[in-house]
Amino acid sequence: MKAHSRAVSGGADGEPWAELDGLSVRLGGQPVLRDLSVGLRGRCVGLLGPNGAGKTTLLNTLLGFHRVRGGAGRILGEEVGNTRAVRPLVGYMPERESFVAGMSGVRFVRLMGELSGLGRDNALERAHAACYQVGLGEARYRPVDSYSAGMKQLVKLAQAVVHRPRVLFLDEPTNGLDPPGRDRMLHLVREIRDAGDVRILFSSHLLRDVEECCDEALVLKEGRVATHCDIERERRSNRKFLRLELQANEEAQGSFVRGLEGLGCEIGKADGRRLSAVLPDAVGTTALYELALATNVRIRRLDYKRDSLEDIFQRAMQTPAAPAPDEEPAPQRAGDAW
Amino acid sequence: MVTFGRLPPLLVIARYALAGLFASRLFIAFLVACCVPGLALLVLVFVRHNTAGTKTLEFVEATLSQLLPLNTWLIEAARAPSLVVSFLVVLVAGPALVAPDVHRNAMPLYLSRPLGKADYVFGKLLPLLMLSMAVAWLPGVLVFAAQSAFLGFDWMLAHMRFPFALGAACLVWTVCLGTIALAVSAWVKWRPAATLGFLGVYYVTAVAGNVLGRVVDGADWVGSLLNLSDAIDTVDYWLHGGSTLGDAERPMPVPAAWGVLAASAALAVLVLLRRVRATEAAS
Repeated sequence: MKAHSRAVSGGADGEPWAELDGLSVRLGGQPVLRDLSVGLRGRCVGLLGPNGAGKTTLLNTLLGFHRVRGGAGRILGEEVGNTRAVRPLVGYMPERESFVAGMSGVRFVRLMGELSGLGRDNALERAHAACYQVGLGEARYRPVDSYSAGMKQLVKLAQAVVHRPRVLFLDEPTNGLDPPGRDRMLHLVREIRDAGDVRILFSSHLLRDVEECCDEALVLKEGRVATHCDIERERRSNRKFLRLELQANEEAQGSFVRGLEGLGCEIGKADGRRLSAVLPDAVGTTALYELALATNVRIRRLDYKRDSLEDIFQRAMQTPAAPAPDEEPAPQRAGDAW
Repeated sequence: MVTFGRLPPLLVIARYALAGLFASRLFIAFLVACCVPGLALLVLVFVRHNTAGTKTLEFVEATLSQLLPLNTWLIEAARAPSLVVSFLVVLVAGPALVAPDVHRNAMPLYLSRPLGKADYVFGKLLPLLMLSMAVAWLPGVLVFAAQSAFLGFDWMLAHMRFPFALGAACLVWTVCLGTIALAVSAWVKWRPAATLGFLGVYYVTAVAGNVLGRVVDGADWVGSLLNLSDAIDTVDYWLHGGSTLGDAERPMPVPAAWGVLAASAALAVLVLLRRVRATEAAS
């Protein structure tokens, strides 16, 4: 595709593929996105936040649906206001049910491919490939109106990837899916992510979905950046954080704790028979079992600390978002109403 | 396999819209029916000029000559159905174009592509223009061409205004009605309701115009300001060489008629641009 062959900057490892520089958006006179400044580098970036935080508005703004009232945003080096340059680079899967009534799945995907700039034959070929890739199979010849909720999500994904975009915006892609459907969708997202040449912005309020697919998270709260973190790095930093449950007498337990300190472990919290510890990089769990054997302590349970994203999210939600001096406080919203 | 190149987005929209319409056999039958008046006139022209040697045809020719002064009548006969046919094309096809997209929230998908609202709207209007020209203008032009072939170059030159005026009138009428049909379709989001809504807008404004015309003293054409049919009739008459100032039969001045059509289309486009959008309004 012509648009894809254009020289666009960003997206290489370490270089942000999307940059927000004080981006602000107002809808209906109310500030919805406030002074967002962040650079997105991950292959799959989770966009998190409670209802009304501005996730969908951010996606819509990046697509050029909303006017930027302040600051700037760039996708692969292109200004977000320059929709003719940005949109061919982007594939978009909206949150709500969206399709053209009365069309078969493959025809619908082909139409969207042609509108993205593919030639007729190429669009047809890629539409079949995209429908096949998402698992629609023979159902692609049926009218989309007759699809189940899960199939409608799949065809939405197919139309988003048919033109092989450089950036993919997925807005709540697992909405309304049953557990197998959700697993399938997340598997597809991971497949696309691992293909390597697509950057994904994955909006969701489900932490587990983001944790399963994303390597970076952007948490929004009341239209501001609450937290922006590298999930992989957080995971790595927590990899040595252990929770132990011991069975031993007091003396043996004391010896065990002293032994841990001798190994260079940092003892976080000791509560009766439970204790938490951070292992130094050089120390593996085998050393713990050896120490337990030597001090006559039985390790009944050993857990790695999990849900790091949940912790990050909870911390972000507990921190009050301070309004800028020249701004009124944001109104409380019942949900993502725009 | 033939490879077709990339089309501009508005032509892609138009092509898919046309394909959607032609998927219905009923619609194809309707289009064929729309061509019947033109075909009948073509037969009439042929009969009128090919009666030598056939007694039955000679009798028909003699009867027609008495009934119809062909040179003048034919032009009127070719002109008269064109606006009605354009109206019917818009009535049948117009509501089917936007409602399925808006109803199923397809606008974010369209507008997330390198495609503007104007491309979308014009892409949906284009099939109406093409169909209207095909079944309302082309038969008239064929009749004109056949008559010219029989009566010669001088006749053709003398009536050269006819095909252009016919085409212009069809275009203006289809653009005006088409934008209204698309706007109603985008507003109500459901095809049957959109068809009824379009008829409602057309006839209710006409009735309101008649009432206004009776209530307001002064110019006879005040009521016509709400009557699209009166306006296009005046413009059509003018395009074919009629008076610009209005007369007893068409009292509306031509500028006022143009103004009514332009204002109606502009209002419809405004409604369309408001309804055709990627996101719902903030609450």
